Amino acid sequence: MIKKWISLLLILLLLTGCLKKNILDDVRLVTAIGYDPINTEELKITTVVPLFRSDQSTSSETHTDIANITTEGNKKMDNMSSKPFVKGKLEVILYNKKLAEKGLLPIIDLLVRDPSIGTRAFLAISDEEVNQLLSGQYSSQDNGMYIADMINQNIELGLTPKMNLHLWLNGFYAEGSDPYAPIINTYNQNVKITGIALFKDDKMVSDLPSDSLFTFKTLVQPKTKRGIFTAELDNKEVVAIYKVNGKRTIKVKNIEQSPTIKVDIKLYGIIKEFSGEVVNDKIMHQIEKSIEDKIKTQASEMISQFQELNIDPVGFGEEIRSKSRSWNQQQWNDKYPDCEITVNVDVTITETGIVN
Amino acid sequence: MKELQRQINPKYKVSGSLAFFLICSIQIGVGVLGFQTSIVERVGNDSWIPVLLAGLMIHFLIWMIYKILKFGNGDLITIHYDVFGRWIGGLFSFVWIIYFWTIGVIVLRTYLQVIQVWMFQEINIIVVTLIFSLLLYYLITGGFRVVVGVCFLGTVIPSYLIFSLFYTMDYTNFKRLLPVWNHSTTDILLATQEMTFSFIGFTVLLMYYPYLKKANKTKLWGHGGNFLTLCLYIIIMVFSLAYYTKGHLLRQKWPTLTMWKSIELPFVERFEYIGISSWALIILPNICLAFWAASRGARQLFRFSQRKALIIMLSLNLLANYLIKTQKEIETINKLLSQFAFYLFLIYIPFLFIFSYLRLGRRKQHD
Repeated sequence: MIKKWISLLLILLLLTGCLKKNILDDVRLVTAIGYDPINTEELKITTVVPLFRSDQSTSSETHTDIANITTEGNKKMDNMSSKPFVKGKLEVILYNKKLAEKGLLPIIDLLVRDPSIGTRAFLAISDEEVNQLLSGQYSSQDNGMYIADMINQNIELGLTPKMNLHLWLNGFYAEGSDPYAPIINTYNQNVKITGIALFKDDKMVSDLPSDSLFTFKTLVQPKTKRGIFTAELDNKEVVAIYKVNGKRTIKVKNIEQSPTIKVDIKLYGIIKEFSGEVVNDKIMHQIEKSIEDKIKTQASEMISQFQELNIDPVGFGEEIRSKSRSWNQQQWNDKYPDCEITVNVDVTITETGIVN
Repeated sequence: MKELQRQINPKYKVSGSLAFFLICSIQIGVGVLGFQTSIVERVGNDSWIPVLLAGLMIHFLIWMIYKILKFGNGDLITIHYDVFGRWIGGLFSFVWIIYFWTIGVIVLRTYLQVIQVWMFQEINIIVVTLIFSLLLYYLITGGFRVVVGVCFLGTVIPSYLIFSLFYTMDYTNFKRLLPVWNHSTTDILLATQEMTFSFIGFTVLLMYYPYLKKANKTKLWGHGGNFLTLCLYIIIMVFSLAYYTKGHLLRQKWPTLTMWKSIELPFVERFEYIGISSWALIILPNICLAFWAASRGARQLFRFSQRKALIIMLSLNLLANYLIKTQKEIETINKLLSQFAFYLFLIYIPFLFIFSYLRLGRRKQHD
């Protein structure tokens, strides 16, 4: 019996932590990393660290260094820092547009390989110099958290499609779809989503302006929840609908030889604001028609742009792959630009608010 | 020199229903964390079919093992002794003991590798193995009833981890599983082979059978345990296929763990830390049962104290864990072991089934 207790006590002795601990107060929690190109090889790496002040406000501190890869940059930063940088709370990864156009593959590796980085982090592109953007002071939060909350808020409100590191990687590695990411820029002392960057593999090839974000969302997401949309009627009246719910279905005919694709978008919305007076049946019909037309034109233009660039953010390829028994990525890539894709939009106004 | 033990004192026996936990607790282990990759590599969206086929195969094997044990009315070592005689039977028993021991070693080493990669890069393998060894010594010398207790708790306590899958549903797209069966049957069968490692360990039944009360009436519980494992593997496979696109999944070494990377809870930023720590409880019955079976086998075969056999095995375990250093070595041993287990399942168990029927089963019928 005594032997047993002694051995148990010995085990307790072994349980004291001998590993290096990272205590929150003794590390710098990186909330955002930004990349700018310097020349063909070197990158300017900016990290944002929250600085907690005694009056409970937070501001951000940025560190910059020049290196070939992120870890090397971090090492250089560690060299002159009193506390080590840790990436467990990384929320935003920001790339300069020029870098994205050259291809993100070499710098994205860390995000895939490092176990401490969460896949809910946002991957974003900026037209401006990322270092400048991350150095500004925008709110009472640090910049990493602020930008992440801003993008997240836009997704929650249904203004942009769901985007994050996991979805980007899913699109990047997929056979039948291509990834996309938000473009953010400074705007009146704030940061704003100004569009969507479209990728071919890991290279950014084009972008969509911010006014087509909603249409893009209804196209890429099978289910639309929430969202606000405005349209102009023939008689110059303007209408806004909100709480737009709906779904998108893709139908494919003649799947094995030359597929023709039909995209059906069904939307239900409530009128939020109308610049005219009373909404009667006739005007209601006009409103529905004008919204349908606007989404349809935008979507069709978008799709022909995708086909021209041979990119597939919507995932038509995935759709075909899941239905076809003779899927071949190469063949599909050849067929896709000449594929006939039609869009059908059906909008129903369910309510008109508390007045007619 | 001890006697070959054929009957177990009833006071050391456990309730037959615990066969359920004994089967599934040893099957669910480190395999769950990363079994997807090698299967998806072969059959992509059809990967759940090999999982199902492998599970059904194991049901068949469990049926066969119960038959063997009914003919032999003892454990593997006594059956070997009765069927093949002292020397050839002894040789076969020795191979099985090494096989059980290797399961224990490789499960522990793979788990430590996960800790090394995901949580503590600087962890000292020797110290952790030593702590585990002391725990294992304590549990196994407590007798089979304690080991069964660990199996029960090791299945029940970590079962909350299944709810983590619901958090991934934000990103799942079940259309990725379509079209069903667009890979050749050969590929699907080859991928079924890859599942061997995930179901490994249920053969320990051959060792603890005499410890079950009314042992031959526990078939349903044994099959139930395997069915639970099968369901779990299918659910995880379906969620992985829906969560990742194929190319993305193939990049992952541990797809189940990477899925946890997208879970965000108010009180913890990285769910993996909870998951991997809980996993210690899941692998504990694995290792415990494997070492128990190995040491019990050594006791029966060499007729000396199980305690001494256990001490030797745990020391060798320490040595093995020290010698295996790189990821490549771990992978190679995993691969060799699962290949060995595959042939063991497919060739040796039916072989033993036929022989034990001829030598023992028929004789009984004549009596």
